Amino acid sequence: MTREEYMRRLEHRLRRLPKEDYNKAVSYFTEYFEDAGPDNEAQAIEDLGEPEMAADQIVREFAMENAKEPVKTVKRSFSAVWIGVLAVFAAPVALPLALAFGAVCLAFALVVIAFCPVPCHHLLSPYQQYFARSSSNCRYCASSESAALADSPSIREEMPAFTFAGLHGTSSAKSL
Amino acid sequence: MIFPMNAPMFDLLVLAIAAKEDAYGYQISQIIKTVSNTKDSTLYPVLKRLQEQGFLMVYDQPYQGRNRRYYKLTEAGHKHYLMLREEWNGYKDAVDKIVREGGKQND
Repeated sequence: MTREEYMRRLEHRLRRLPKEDYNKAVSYFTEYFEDAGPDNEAQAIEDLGEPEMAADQIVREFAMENAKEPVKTVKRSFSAVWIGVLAVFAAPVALPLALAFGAVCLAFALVVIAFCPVPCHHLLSPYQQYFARSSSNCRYCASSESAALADSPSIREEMPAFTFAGLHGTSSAKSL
Repeated sequence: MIFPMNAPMFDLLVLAIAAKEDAYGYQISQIIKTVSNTKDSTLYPVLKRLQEQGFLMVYDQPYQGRNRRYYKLTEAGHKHYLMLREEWNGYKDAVDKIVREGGKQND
């Protein structure tokens, strides 16, 4: 990359900035190259880092500064919004990707939770049954609680009475 | 340098350089380079922010048929510099105490 190439890529990436901010940034980098001298051009390019990265940093900084200040004119406000959008895209690619991935995972988890029946006493240990007070969503026994209980006499014998009372309410306790 | 640079550290170094004498961008970059391996383009947003905060002001001076932009500490900038320097001294001593003596209290 030459100095000209560097400046071309930098300027291209900064082109949405307001004229004043654009000019200041460009002249800073021009001056940097001048001070480094033609002999140190390669070193200067290496030290500055990628022009796109440099430009994105400036655009981000501008967007943040602009978000703080009250906007003066409509044109400037439009420009600020536009720059804000660009800054979001200029942020490291990992961030938007991570957000999208997180959103997909969350959606998937919600769907799974929404469509899964609440586990019923067929699936739980006696200790868990005590805390699982609602069995209304149970695919296996919601229709006939007492039948389900009658189907498992061994469990009934092994477990203390309060467990069943806790599980299906006082009505099923009576059925014991 | 394996220790990272952060914004307050950048501010402190830039203000300290300008406190010594008015300095231009490339010059500041060369000094910062001795303690940091951040890219030199990082300095521009820092200088811009310090101007917007009123800690630095700029003026141009002709140099070899072109302009050179110098950064000069303002009065507010000098106060901020002293504050940051105070913070840094406290932090440096506390870290050093741990690094050298494992943080043990010496009575």
